[in-house]
Amino acid sequence: MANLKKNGKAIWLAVKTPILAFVLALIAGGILIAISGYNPFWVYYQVFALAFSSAKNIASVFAQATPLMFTGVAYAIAAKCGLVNLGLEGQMLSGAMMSALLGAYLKGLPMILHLPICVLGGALAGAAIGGLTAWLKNRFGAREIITTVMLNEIIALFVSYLCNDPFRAEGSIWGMTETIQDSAVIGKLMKNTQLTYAIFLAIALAILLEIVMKRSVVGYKMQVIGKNLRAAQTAGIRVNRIFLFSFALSGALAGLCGASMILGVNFKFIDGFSDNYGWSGISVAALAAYDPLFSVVSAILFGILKAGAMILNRTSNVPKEFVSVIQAFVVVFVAAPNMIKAICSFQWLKKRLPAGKKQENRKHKEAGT
Amino acid sequence: MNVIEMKNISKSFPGTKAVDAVDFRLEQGEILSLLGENGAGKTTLMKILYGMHSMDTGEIFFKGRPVEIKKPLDAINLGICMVHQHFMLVSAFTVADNIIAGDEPCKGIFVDKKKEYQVVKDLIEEFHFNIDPHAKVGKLSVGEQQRVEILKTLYRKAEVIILDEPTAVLTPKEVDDLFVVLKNLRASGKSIVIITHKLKETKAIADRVMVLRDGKLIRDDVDPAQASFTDLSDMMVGRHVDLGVVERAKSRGDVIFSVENLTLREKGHDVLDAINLKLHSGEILGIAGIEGNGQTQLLECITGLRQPQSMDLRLRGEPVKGGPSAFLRKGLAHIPEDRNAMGLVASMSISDNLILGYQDTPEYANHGFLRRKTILEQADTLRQEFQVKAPDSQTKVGALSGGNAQKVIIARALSKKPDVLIVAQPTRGVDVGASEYIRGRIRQLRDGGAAILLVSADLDEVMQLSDRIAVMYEGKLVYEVEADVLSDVELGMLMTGGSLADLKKGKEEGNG
Repeated sequence: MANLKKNGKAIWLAVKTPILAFVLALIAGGILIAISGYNPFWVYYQVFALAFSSAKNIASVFAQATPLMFTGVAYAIAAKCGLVNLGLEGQMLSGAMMSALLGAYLKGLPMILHLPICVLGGALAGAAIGGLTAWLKNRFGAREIITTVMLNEIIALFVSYLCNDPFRAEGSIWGMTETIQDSAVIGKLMKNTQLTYAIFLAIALAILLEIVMKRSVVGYKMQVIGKNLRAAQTAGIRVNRIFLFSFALSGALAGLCGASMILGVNFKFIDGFSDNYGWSGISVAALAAYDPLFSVVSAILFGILKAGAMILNRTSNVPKEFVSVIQAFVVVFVAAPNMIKAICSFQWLKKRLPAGKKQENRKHKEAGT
Repeated sequence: MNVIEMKNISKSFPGTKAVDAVDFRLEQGEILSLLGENGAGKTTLMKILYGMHSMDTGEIFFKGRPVEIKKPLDAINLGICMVHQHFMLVSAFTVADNIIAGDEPCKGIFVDKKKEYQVVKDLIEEFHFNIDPHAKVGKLSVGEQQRVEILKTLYRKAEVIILDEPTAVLTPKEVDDLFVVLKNLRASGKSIVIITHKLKETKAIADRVMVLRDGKLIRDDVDPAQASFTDLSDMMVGRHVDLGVVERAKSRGDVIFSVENLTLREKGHDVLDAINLKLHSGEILGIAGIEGNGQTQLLECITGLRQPQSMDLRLRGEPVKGGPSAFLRKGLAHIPEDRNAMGLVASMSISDNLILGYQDTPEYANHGFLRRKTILEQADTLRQEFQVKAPDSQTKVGALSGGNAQKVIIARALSKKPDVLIVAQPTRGVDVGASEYIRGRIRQLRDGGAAILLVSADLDEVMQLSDRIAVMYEGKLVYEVEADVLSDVELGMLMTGGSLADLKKGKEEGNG
C-alpha cells in the first residue's frame, strides 16, 4: 500500500510539468482568444463539446490524432537518447512523396503486396533522411539541430519540385502527383471520415517502442546515452551506432506519418498538404514527457483541440489557428520548467503578504527548488 | 572578538537535513578548521554564510550586529569571501584580469589597464604573494591558481576568507606554501575558515577545530595541539575507524598485464611519451603525480577509450585491441576517475547502473532483451554485499551520497572478478569510513590474485595502498620504486619534475 502511494507520488512528479504546461498553454491561448474578441470559456466549451458531439466528430478527433501519434512517437524516440530531431517535417514529406510515387506508378500488384510496399517505402524514405542526419553527426560532428532544419528546407523544395514538374498529374493546375492505385489505399475505419486503419499501426508501434525502450538492451543503451553520454562512452556503448539507429527509427516513424496521410487521406501528394504534422510532433512528445505511449494520449488531446476547432470554424468565425498557438505554448512551458514553478509558487502574491509570514514563504520557496 | 556569529542555523534539502541547529563563531585573526566528512554540512553552512544558500532558520551576526545575507554580493560587501573547491577563473585571461573581473577600475567605459596592473601589483607585494600579474592563468600551476583566487578575495577587501577543501588538489610542497600564505594573512588580521576532511592539515595549520557530523555541531572548541588523529577522526565519523591501514602484497605473481611504448600525441606534442608499465598479479601499482601530467590520457588509452599513436598492450601475453567494451570483456575492469560524469548515470537506478558496460553479456541479456529478474536479484545481493546504503535497488544513484555511489561502481567492477583493475581516484569525495572500506575491497581483490593499477591525485592514498609506486611527470613515468622507500616529500619532489639529488643538495645547503 505504501508502495502504491510512493508510486503514485512518483507518477505525479513525472506528469506534473506536462499537465501544468498544458493548463497554462490553454490559459495563454485563452487570453489570445479573448484579445481576438471571443469568449475563451465559450470557445473551449464549444471545442470540447463539439469534438464529442457525434460519432463522426469523435472519428474526426482520432483522424486528427493519427499523424500526430506518428510524429510524436518519432520525436520521443530520438529525444530518449538525447537527440533533437527537428527534421520530422522533412522526413515526413519524403515518406509521403515516396509512398505517393510507389502508390501511383507501381501497377498490377495485389493489395496484399502493394500496400505494404508503399507503407514500407514511406518508412524507408524517412529513415534514409534520418540516417543521413545521424551520419553527418557521427562522421563530421554536424549538429543535428542545424542539419535537420536545413534538410527540411531542401526536402520541402525538392518534393514541391517533384509534384510540380516531373510527377505532376496530367491536366492539373495545382502541383500534385497522380492518384494512387486502389491497391495502395489504406482502408477507412468509418465511412465519410478521415479515420483509417493507420491509427492501429501508430498505436501498435507506440506500444512496441515503449516495450523496447523499457525492456530491451538497445533501449537501455539509448537511455544511458540520453542521460549521460560520457558514462555511455566509458562503458563502451557504441554511441554512433545507437545515434544512427535512433535517428533512422525516428525518421521512419515520420515517414510513416507521411505515408498514412497519402495512402489513407489524400490519395496523392498535393503540394503544401502538410498541416505541420512534423513540427506538431515536438509539442506532442513534449507534452508526453518524451514517452512513446504517453505520446499517443497527448496526440489524442491535440486531436480533440484540432478537430473541435475545425468543426467550430465551420459555424463561427473563431480561427482554428489558435490550436497551433496552444501547441507552441505547450513547448514553451515544457521547455521552461522554472517558469512553471515560478508561476505556480505564487511568489508575486506572497510578496504582498505582511512581513510576519515571510519566514513561512521562504520555506515554501525552498521546498520548490 | 567574534567577527562572525551564526546562531541556530538550520537548512533542509528535500530528504535531508543538511544543517541542523548549528551555532558557529569565528574569532578575529584566527584560522578555524571546519572538519567533517562529506555530507556533514560544512560546505552548506559556509555557503549560507556566503549567501549561496538561504537558511530555513537562524541568525547571522557580523561584528556583533545582525546582518541579512541573501546573495554572495551581500557577503562580499561585508568582507566575507569564499574560495571554491573548483576554481572560478578564466584561463585565457591574465592574473590581473581575473582578479579585477567583476569590479574593474574604469576610465569612462574602458578598463583602466594601467591602474589595474598597479593595484594588483601593490596587492601582491602587500601580502608577499609570488606571482606575475601579467601571466596567463591557464599557464599557472594549480597552487598558483589558488593564490589568484585568494588574491581575488583580497582585492575585494575580504576580512573573512572561507576556503573549501583548499588542499585537495595540491602537492605536499604547495600545501606548505599555502600554509605560509595563510599564516601571513592571519598575521595581517584576516580571519580564515578552512573546510576540510583532512586531519593532518587541520593539525598543521588550525588554531581551533570545529567538528560537524550529519549536519550537527559535535564540538567547536577542539584544540588541534591537544587532540590526536584518532580523536579527531572518531569525532568526525562518530565511531572508531582504523586509519591508514597498511597491508602490502603477500605474494606477488607473474606479470599479467603489460603496456609497452605507449605514445599519445595531442596538438603536436607528446602527452604520453613512450610509457612502459608492467603489472604483476597480486600487486597494486600506484601512479603518483600532479593532476594534468597525462594520467587522464593514460587511463583513456589503457581502457580502450582512446587510440594512441602507438601502444602494445597485453593481457597474459595476448594483445588487447578495440574499444572499451572489448577491454571489459577481456577482464579489464575500470573504475573511472570522475564518478558522476563517467561512471554512473545519476537518473537511473542502482540496478541499472550495476549492469552498465556489461549490458550485452549473456548474464544480463537474452535475445536483445534485459533479464530483469536476474538483474534485480543480483542488484539486491550486491547492494548488501558492498554495503551500499539505500532503501532498495530501484533507488536512483543520484540520491546516494558520494561514498555509496562509489560503492556501486566498485561493486560493478569487482563482482565481475576481473584479472586487472584500473582504478582512478577511488576515494575522491568519499567519507573516511567508506574510503577505508573501499581500500579494503581493493586490497582483497589484489590478495585474490588480480593486478591493480591505481591512479590517484591523493599522494597519501597512493603511499598507503600501493605495493609499488611510479611517478608520472609531463607524460612520462620518471621514477619507479617499491613502496615505503621514499618519503612524501621525496615523491613530491619527483612529481614536480625535480630529482632526489636536488633535494639532498637543498638539505645540505640548509644545514650548511
